[in-house]
Amino acid sequence: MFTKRLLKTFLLLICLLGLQNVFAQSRVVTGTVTDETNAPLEGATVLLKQSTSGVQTNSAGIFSITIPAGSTTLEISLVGYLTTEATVPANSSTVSVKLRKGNETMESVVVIGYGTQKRKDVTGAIGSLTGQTIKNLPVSNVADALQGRISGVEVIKNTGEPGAPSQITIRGLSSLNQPAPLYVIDGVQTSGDNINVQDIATIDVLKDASAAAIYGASAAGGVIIITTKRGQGAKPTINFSARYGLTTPRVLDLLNKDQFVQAKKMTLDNYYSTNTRLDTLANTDWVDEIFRNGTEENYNLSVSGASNNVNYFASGNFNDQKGVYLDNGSKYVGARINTDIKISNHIKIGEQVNYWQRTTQPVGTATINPPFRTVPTMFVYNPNGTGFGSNPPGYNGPNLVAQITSADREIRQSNFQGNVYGEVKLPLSLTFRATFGYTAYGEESNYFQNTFKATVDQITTKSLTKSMVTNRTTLNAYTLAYDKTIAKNHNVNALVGYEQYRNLYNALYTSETDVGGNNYAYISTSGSTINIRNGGYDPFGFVRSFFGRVNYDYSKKYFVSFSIRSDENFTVFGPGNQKGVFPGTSVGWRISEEPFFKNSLPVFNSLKLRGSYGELGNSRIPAYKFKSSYEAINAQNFTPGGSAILNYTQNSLANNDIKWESLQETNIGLDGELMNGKFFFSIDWYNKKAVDMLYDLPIPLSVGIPTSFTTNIGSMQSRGVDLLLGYKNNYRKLNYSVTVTGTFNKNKVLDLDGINSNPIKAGDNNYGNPTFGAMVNQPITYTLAGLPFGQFYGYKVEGIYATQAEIDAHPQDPDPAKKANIGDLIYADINGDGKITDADRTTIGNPYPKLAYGASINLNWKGFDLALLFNGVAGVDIFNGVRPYSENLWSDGNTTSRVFGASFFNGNGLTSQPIIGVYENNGTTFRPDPNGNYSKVSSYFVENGAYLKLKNLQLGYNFSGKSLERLKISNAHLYVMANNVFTITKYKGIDPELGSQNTSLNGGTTTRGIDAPFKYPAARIYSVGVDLTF
Amino acid sequence: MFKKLMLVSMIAGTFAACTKAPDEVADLSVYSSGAYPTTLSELTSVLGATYANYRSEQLSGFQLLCKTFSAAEHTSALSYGGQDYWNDMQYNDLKPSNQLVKDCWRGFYTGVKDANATLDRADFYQANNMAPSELTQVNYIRGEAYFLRAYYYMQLECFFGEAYMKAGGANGEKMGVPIFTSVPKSLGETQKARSTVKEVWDLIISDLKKSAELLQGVQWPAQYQGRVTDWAAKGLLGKAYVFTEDWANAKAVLKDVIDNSGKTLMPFSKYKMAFNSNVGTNLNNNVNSEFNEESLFEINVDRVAADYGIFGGSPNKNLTTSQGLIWAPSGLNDQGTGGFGMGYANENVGDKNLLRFGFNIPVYTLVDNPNFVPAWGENLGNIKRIPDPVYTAASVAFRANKTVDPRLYVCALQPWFDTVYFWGNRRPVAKSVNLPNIDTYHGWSYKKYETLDSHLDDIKQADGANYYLLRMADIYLLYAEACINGGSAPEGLEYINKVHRRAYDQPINGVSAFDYASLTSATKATDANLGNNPLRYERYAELFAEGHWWFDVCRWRIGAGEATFYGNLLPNNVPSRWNDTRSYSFPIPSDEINSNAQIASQQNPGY
Repeated sequence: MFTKRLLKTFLLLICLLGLQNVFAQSRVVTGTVTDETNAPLEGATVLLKQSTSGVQTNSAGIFSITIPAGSTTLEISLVGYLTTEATVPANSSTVSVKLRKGNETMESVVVIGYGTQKRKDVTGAIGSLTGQTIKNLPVSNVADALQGRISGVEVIKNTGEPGAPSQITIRGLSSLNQPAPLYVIDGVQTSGDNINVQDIATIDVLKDASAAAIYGASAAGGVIIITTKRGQGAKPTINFSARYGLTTPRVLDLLNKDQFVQAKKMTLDNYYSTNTRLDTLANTDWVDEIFRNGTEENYNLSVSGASNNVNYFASGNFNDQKGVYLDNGSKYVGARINTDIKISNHIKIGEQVNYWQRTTQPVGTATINPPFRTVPTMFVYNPNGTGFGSNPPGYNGPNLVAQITSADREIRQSNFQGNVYGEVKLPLSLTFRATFGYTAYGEESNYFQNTFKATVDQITTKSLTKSMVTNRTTLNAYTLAYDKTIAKNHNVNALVGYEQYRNLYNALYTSETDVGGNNYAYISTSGSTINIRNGGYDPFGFVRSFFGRVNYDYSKKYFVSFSIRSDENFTVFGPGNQKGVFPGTSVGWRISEEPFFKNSLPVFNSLKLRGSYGELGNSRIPAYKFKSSYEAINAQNFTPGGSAILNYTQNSLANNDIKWESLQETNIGLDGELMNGKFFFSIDWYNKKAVDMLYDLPIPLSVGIPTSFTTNIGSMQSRGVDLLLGYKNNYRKLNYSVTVTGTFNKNKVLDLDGINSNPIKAGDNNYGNPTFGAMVNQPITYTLAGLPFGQFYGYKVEGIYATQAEIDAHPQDPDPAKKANIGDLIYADINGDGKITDADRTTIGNPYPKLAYGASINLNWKGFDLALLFNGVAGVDIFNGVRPYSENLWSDGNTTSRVFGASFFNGNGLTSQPIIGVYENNGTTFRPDPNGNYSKVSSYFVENGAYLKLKNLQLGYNFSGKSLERLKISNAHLYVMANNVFTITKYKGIDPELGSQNTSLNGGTTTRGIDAPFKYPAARIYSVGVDLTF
Repeated sequence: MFKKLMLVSMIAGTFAACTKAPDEVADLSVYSSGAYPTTLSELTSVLGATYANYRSEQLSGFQLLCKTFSAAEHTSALSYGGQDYWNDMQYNDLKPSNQLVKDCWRGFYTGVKDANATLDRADFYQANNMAPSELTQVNYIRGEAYFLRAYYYMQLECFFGEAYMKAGGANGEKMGVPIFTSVPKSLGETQKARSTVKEVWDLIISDLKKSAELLQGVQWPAQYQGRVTDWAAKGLLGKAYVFTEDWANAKAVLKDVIDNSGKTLMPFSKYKMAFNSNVGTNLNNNVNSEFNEESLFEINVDRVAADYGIFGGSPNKNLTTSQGLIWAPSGLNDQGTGGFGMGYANENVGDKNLLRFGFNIPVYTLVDNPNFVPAWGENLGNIKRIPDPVYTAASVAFRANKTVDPRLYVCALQPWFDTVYFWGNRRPVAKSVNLPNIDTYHGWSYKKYETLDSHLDDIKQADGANYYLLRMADIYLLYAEACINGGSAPEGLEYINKVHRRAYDQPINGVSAFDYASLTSATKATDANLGNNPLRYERYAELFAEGHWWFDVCRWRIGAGEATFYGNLLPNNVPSRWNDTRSYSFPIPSDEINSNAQIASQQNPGY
């Protein structure tokens, strides 16, 4: 019965779509809406004056509206422009309208979570962005698109790896376990990765706790709300865009054969000093062998439209990236369909469906830039055709090309997300809305390792590893909203809601050694060992929440808002601690509405003072810490070759009392617009404090349990100022606008615990494994109460010894073998005990910038448009962990030509670089680096990390006119673009834009600012693109 | 109608879809403490972890024997000088932050925790799931857990205790190590001060007594032959008495083991490859001497599939050990012109140790091989340069005449005279490859516990030889020591001679030409510490590189003499930094000090 009715309704809808333009006694008016430069404006609302039904312009600025006989006046409005009326003469069916720029920031609509508000009414700290400004960017996640554009949002991207996420921090750190921002796409909490940015209509970032408190426990990292496009314009609009780009890696050059042999001879290397047939050696450039130019191409097609009762938007996207690393790339396809159907004046239903699939060929080995453990004197392939090159004597490292090309890897991710909603207008100004969502994420990973044989580096049997992960989430959400103006001046807007997310996680890892096949299918041989590991199965993921909000204002002058949310998490916290309650409140005063202000400072169009306080939750710890368990640990047999039993033991201490960490935040802000909207600003001061901070307290080793004890014990604070300044104007036909964002932030650990004096040590400068590298067994950072997170920690360098007298007068390492020589670094005796030991290590730098800023500049002149995006940081240090490798011959590998700048090397005297070793026994032996110049973490490697970068540059031209119309193209936009154009910095490394070394550890809070060789290179992208609207 | 239906269905959906809070959630990937173990074999799995812990990376799976013991006691010389913490161990100059010190502490305490978890689960199993008929088996498991806990505590006390107990309970009030007899249940319980030396030894002795009692008469079936027995418990108890100078109890218990355990010394024919069982198939040494007549307790080690030994990914990785990577022998390359390490070859048997075993000739020089045929090219069958004839003749005579202690050849591999097998060929041993100034050193490789027939790349260094933790030669020497100090010196001398005779392939119970005539007879060693002290020498030579000598040095307090004898130490050729007030105890690791408020002011003297 019900199905039949549904079917009927569906058929009816189809009819509606087809018949939408047929109305009696009326005429159809079509028109174009442009800005002052005649550039078409998309999304402008065209209304019949005094009515509420209207249409919107398509991306060519064209609209088509049916107006009753006798009506002549249209009202055209668009965010950022002054609303304009246009008269359509009774005998005409066309009109063209120009909109003038206006009160951009104040009139726009802001999504505040479960509802919207006008910017001028907002009392929390919210930053916004329209999809238009980012739609052409070559990015695969929302974070990348936000870089430098919203104050308080810091985005770091220093990898050119296809599909790799960026690091995003909203308003500085808010916890030791820094939570990622919460992404809410069309009302559903989901991942911000892999969204097609061309589908985005608007992005709103809830920055302060009062604004984010409606998302309670999930919101301590800030909330990013994304609204995707809805259908607009009576006439269906088809948009096609294409972009093609070339990617170049940013890498260091290593020594070539001649330089390498020279350096080896100077270190008295036995082989290179005595071998007379060096001409037979290879001259391989391993950087060239491993890195290459990549490409990025992107195609997008969308169709959208709307009628009185239905709007629809559908898009498809294909993106293909060839990475700059050998055998690495990623392909993406995605599709979206959004529809809203107005069933009656009281009932509206709709859906959003999004599917994407990404196939990645991940890098075949650990990514190294540059590959220091290679030697130019080794061939990639033996010249006589006998396979991979043999290792020359003294080199026991890998053949990276052999490693990379002998492995086939593939990761396939797919995600379906669909949600439907129904909205009913009830009596008493109430609106009820129900949303049901379903997300299914799947990931398959295949890794086939073929055999290969280089001299030292070889794999003798084939193996295959396959894993599967699925994650399914259902959402049920219900809200009841109340919106009413009482007695003219009292505006009340209230909301209550319930929401729950259920999650089922299931994964399997399998592998087989000695497989028979050569692909991703298992063929067993008699030598095969099959290994199945549990990837996990968790059906219990469940979070449920109740929330409510009241917004009240008097005459749009005085505002007050209160919200509260209660979240219950059933897998992270145990009985009694599952619930967290998170309130938020804010007030606002539009000073500019006061008569006294209007009279005395008419230059202000708008000025608003805001203040807020709120609390948010953080539960970014693994599940089930409140339970104790027995885990598989090792195996045992009791007779030679006897069958093994797998052993289980208690390997963690449960904490029954573990509970939510909470973040308390106060915010005071001021927004204003002057000179008819030419100048606008927004400034926010905030102070946040995390209390009951979840902390992995190290427990004594004598307990015999390797894990720490997770408990609510610490606190930290983060304070800062967010600034947004904008100016826009025109000079004749040149329109220009400049927007500057700045984020000042300072974090400090107040307390880690009262029991323990272990600092949190983190970071490393290893070469791929913990026992190998230039600085083995030395953490790079320490985190201690009283200091900001992740301070660089090591020896403080006071200079370089120039004379023996200086050495004799200065404290030395008690080990006589490590006594300094002329040309060695002078380490400060911090504790004043007359010797240089580990105890002299101290804080030597702060990886957190005092200021992160961005500037976007937009110009347009006639059909041309130019957009520049700068970003930068100031007041920051970087630990340049590449230099111990690039300035010294480390292990058996190669280095860069900087090695020839070392003191007393290559005929040098004393230089600014310390010696790489000492000649002893009358110059017959060479002892590498006894003072540890290149193997101790010291301030020598800490550099000023401030930079200014032209992140993105776009130059475009809009074609329009008769010739296009003949091709049925209403608008064509052609552009060229460059990413990572240039960087102004004193930093000596490749790229000072550095995030955290290990984001899985505490969200990266303790490993920021370490530049180490093990990472994927950053890349420059040069693109050309076209955007066509039909 | 449709609108009404929509409305109704939405409201219905609203209520239907609100989910009740789940009652009981748990991580399904692990066994919950509230319901485990449910069977005896699951309980055995908890116990198994306590055994397997011995093969962990922190202990003999990788670094206890080859890095910590052998560097501290100088049974190895470091060829590789890349890691300060390792060099510091070699120089007896430890810092509280030393990684080996930390791992040593952590590794043994993990064993203590595993034993405590076993005892806890045995109680849980008995209370909840045990069939009455299983009580004996459950008690055996408790007995094994007590033994292993005592073993781990004994190691901890010997490394970290402020001092060894002396006769009459002297030093008993000094600082021992923290005692945990159960797994902590709260944060407060994790904070433990150091117990006294006496308290620790009392616990060890009482655990071993309980163990012997619970395991009384146990007869393990063949597949469980590596499990603890009552005789192992009594043997270790005797050792604990010797280490605390309780000579009377030591004599009684050790004599009981000697007379009644059924264990004795294995013959030399077996002994010479007893530390390489199952690891010499390509060298025709298929002797399987594991779990032999001499062994009271040993840890089974199997060579597992090529998967980086204990660092591999397979669940059975822990059945093996990977210390062979460090000690790996060096063999001659295919041309016979130089050496190739079969693993990392970071250490060699220091030349001073060769001297102690009586190998006292200078380092060879290479000379042209008179039999070399240039036309055949340089290969293993046609080597161009070989050791000088004087050295060769002396080396041959040393072996034939037993003028060098034959145990040297059980412990170590002589370049050119011993063979290894890799890359498809049997080949002479080369000088330990990583030695600096290699021409000036003898550079012998390790043999004890080593893999002799495979290269790192072939099997990824999974070792195959079992570790003897307690064998009769040790018991005999402990008994001898107890006798000597307990008023029966002649019997003591006889037991020293029994061990000595076996080394020279003589019947152990009859008088032989190799016997020591007295307790001050000359030994093969000529230094002040061992030269005229057969007891010390035999413990050194018999138990060389098995993880005993460091404790003997410390309890006899002969460290300064050792430092003098070994002189300048590799890798940097610098003198030992021995300090009598400090060096006999390892420092309490700084990570323990920093995380345990109770121990913060209890560091060992001198650190």
